[in-house]
Amino acid sequence: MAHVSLVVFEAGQHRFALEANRVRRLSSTPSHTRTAHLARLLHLEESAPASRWLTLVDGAGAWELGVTGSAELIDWPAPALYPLPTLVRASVHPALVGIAFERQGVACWLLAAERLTP
Amino acid sequence: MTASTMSDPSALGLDEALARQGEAHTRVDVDEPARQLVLFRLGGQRFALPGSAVREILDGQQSVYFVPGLPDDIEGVIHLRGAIESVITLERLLDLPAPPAGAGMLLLVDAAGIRTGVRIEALEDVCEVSESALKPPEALNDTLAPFVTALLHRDAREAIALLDADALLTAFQAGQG
Repeated sequence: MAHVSLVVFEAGQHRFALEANRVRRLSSTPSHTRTAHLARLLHLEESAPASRWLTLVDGAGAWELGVTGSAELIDWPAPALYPLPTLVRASVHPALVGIAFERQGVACWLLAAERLTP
Repeated sequence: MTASTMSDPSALGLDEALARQGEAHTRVDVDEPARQLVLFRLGGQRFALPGSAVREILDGQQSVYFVPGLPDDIEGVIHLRGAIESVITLERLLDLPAPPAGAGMLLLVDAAGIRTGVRIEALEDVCEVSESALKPPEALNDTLAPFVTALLHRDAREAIALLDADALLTAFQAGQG
């Protein structure tokens, strides 16, 4: 079955995932000057301090995205990844593009790395 | 039968009475166009949507997933047989009292180029009504006027406002911009 490799993590009480091939590095301390906590980027309620830093790359170079909890690499079946409805896409952060469901129906929000910027 | 009964101008023969009754039924059932409506309550008031705009009626027990960053009048999304649909509330748009969270039922509405679940307080009926039963809206407030195409007086209670699904969802999307 076709699958997508995702890095799954938490921020602001929610579960999120990024395509694994967009994540250059994972570390417990930031090493770049350009950083941002995902909860702050998405205007989520107060979140715990970042415990993992994912190195991403945008037009200005490498930067680090702060997340909480552990970060797991998961091969997710492609048919189980769903785009968000048009009405919702128009109302939320442009990086929030889809949803998948983990065990027991927990929602995992899919992020487009190229639409995140510090 | 007495002579006095025979002379009663309101008295009919059985054949004539049956013929009149049949004719009356023919006028209602065949000649007059009818519309299917979904009748429901929202914010304590009675509304209807054309059946052609309502794809499905869902019970209120459907799990709604809150999407981070959504405005108050988009509840979230539901997972419906392999598709993800949004769930919205119309109370703010129609200036009605806010609904209790997660209460009531959902109508899956297809209009204005989108499909979305709409939270309703309660489903009243799904029925066919003759076009002649739908009266032009009168004395509506400025908030409701753009969205109400007709009023249906179905019983002794207040009139039911027939909503224009396209106008509603177009305005809803514009309000989210």
